[in-house]
Amino acid sequence: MFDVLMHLAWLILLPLPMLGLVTVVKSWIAGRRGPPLLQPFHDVVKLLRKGAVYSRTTTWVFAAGPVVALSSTVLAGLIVPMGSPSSPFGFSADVIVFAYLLGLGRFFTMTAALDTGSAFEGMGASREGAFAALAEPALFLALMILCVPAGGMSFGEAFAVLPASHGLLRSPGLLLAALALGVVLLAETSRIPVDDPNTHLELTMIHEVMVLDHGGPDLAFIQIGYALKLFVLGSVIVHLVLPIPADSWTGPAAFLAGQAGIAVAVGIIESVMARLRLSRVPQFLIGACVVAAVGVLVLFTGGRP
Amino acid sequence: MSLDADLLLLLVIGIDLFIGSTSRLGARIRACALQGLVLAALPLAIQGTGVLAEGERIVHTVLAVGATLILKAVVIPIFLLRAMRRSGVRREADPEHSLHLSLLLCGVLVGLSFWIGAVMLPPQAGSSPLGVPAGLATMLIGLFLTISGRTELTQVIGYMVLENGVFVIGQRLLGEFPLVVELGVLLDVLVAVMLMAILVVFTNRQHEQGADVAAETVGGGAP
Amino acid sequence: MIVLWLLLALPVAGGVVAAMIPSPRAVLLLCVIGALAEVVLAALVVPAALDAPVFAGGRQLMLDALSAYHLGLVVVVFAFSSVFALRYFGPLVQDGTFSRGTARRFGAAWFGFLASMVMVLLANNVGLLWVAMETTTLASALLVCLEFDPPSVKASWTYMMICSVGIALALLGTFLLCGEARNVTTGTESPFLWTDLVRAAPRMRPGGVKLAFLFLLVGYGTKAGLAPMHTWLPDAHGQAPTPVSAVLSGVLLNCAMYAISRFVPVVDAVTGGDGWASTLLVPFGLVSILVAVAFIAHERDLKRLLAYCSIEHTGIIALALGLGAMPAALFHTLGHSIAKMVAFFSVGFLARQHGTRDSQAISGMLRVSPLAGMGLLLAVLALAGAPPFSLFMSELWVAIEGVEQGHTAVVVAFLLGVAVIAVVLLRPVLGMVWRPVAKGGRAAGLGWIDWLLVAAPLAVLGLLGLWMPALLTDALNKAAAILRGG
Repeated sequence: MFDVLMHLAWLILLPLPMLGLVTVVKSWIAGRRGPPLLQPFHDVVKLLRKGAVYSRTTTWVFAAGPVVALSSTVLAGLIVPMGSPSSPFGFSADVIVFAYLLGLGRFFTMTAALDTGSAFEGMGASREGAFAALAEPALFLALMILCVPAGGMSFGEAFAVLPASHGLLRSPGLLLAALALGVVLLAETSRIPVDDPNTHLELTMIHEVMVLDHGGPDLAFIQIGYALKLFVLGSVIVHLVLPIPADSWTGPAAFLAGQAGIAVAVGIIESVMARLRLSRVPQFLIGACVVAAVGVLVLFTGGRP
Repeated sequence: MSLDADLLLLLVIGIDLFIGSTSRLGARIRACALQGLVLAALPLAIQGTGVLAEGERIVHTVLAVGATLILKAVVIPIFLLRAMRRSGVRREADPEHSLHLSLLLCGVLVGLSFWIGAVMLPPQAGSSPLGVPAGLATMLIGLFLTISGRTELTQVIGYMVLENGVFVIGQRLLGEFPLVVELGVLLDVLVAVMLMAILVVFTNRQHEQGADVAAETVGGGAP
Repeated sequence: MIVLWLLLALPVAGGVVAAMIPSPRAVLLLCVIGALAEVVLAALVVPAALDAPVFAGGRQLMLDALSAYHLGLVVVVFAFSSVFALRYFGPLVQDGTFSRGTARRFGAAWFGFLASMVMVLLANNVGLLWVAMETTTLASALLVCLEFDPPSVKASWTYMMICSVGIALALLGTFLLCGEARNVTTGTESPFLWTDLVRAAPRMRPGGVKLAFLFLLVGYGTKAGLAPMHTWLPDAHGQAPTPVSAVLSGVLLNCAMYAISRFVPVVDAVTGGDGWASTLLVPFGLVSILVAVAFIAHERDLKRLLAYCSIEHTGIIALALGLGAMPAALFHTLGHSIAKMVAFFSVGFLARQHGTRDSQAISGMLRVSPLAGMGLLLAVLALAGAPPFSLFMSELWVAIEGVEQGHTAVVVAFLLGVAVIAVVLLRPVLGMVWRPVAKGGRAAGLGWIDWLLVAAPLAVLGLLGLWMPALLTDALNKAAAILRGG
């Protein structure tokens, strides 16, 4: 029961502050004071208070997009372990469900964008689709590295058989999986160098341009879903890299530290890198696929997970 | 086999992939230098620092590591960078010649070398399973870069990567080189690249002067 | 034995001295003297080596019947080519194009080339063999771009690039082989010494050795000019100064083939003599012959023509090795080296007298320049495999051995290829002979040394086609026995 409550608490309380932490890190590196840690939370509250305006050309698909995106991400968040080796909501083969839940959310975001009939949104949806198609193999290969040694397709089983830690790096295969997942995280959550969340030019946007027509509570859902996605993918990486004990105190502590580390890492990457040219983004994602594929090879050759 | 050696070998593969995915010559040369640095560290990671305590082999190891470090990580890259600046070629001649494809191909080559390593040369007990695949992958990618290179400089960089791959494989198969082969490798790298760099500079000067007489003109007086 | 060290030390010392001599003519003379001295040294040790292997430097250096046979060939061709270099560069010294710097560069690289090739033959350590082979590339690349004009620099660049890559693959093959050997060698055996490798071969794993041989074949095969790794060869041989072309084509290719053939008995011992090596060598040989046909038919530049012809003959030697006709392969090597040397000498003289190497532009060859014309005609006849020259005998020998081994289809393809090459090779040369003279008058006469350079080797070739001295038969059989793993 405590497990369930803690899991839900993490899921509800932490995503928005984590997004805030990324911004804080960025501001700090840039020498600015920056918005407070809870700024994303205030934004969401403000949006939730507003009403929404719907174009007459849109249908129910447009309204369903943000809702489905948020709910599928929440479901994915329930599956992923947070702070303990297995999630209280985990079941067998939940890894596959996890991957497809992320895909479902993306699909509805894209159809909602297409539903507006606007050229800009269509362009964004097409880009999102193209890049997701390249990021997905990397995600699956990385999950494969995770699951093959366990012999099962659930996060609980996979994390249970991970080898004891050698400091921060457990094994070459896992390191590569974590790298590939890192790239997937940047792509899925539209961070630099794949996409710039703060850009002001629609022509260069990917994610932001898809949600231009959403307002009020819809936009709030989208923002929450976006923060959740960062948090959920981040927790997979944290579990891959850090040894999380089943203890009820050290486990969550290590988990929180890991998530904070990921937020800081994303902030640093955003500060030191420029956004890639759109034509170079596929290469970045293919690179992630290749890295993950090498990880699979290492797994099968080395025999060590 | 220590984990460090595995990580170093992974780094070698990672550098290969990076070299295969960038068209900037400067970045390629620097990555090559980094690879040289990793190669120099490899014997230490394999044998452990305990080797430094053994009186007889210490000279050999220190010489090998030092020479690799100085040549592969410092001298040759500096030389290549200078040649690049002088020739004014900053990028591969055809920048859009699908880097995606070349990166994918590099990935396929890595897979191929893992397969060859598994089928033909099952790792012996006590040696890292990554040694031969990493070396083969580096070699194949080097070969690919050499063949697909449009400028002389790219070909030289590809050749350097190729040499690095042979170096890794040799080290993994033979433990440590007998001195004669080791000297051969280093001497070869040094002399070959010196000559090649001279040629690069020379041919580029010829291109600039527009005096690149086509080689196919037959005879023409000079016997 | 001290002579082995002397064989190495003499060219090295010669190279150092040549780099310091002020007069170009003195450099050329030194080359001649050095090459002749090397012949004398080789003559001292070769007979002993034919009977039993001679070792030096703790078994790192070895001269056995196989390497002694090749050594004899190398020093003789080098001696002839050095004399030819004196005649070829002599006029250039007078008009100043063969300057002091060029001469010094030539002398040092020429001796370095000789030293590295001798090293290839003397090395018992396969690592040393590889180092020496790489050194031949470096030394000869310097010789190819001796004139430092754009085409020759380009050719030299291609040569060095392709051969360095090839040789790196050969190094990988060496590592793979020695890595395999390291697991099975015991006691005083070293995995790097060829003599120990042959002895330990039956204990090695076939898979690893096969992979190693594949890399060795492709690597050293690049250097030997086997198709499809031959692309550097026509440029390098065509752009090099003619004496250098003679040596490149005459003996450097042999050295590379020698390196490959050294590993054949090892592979045979590992695979239990099931002919695995020949399933690789035969296709490479046939492809080389066929590629040569295609290129010879369209080539007008005489030197490039001869270069393509070298690809054909390397192919024949590889084919002979693959078919198990070891003595025939060795005999063919001898014939090809001598014939190709004379052919290049003649082309050198012809190009001097006619001012061009274009086979379409030269006419009345025999009338304008009787010696060079006759030399080229006879040498090309020999290369085309016409009797009575020894190449005819060795090709016949290969064909007979092949049929006896049951490879009839291969032999038919080989004979067809050789026949077509004979036609396409002779066509431009005969055209040069019969085409009416455009401008009359004989070219400047050539001296008795030139006659010696061209006529003597041809006479030897003709003689060898009709009569085999017992000494040569003996040497061939002993060298072939080594290749068979005896």
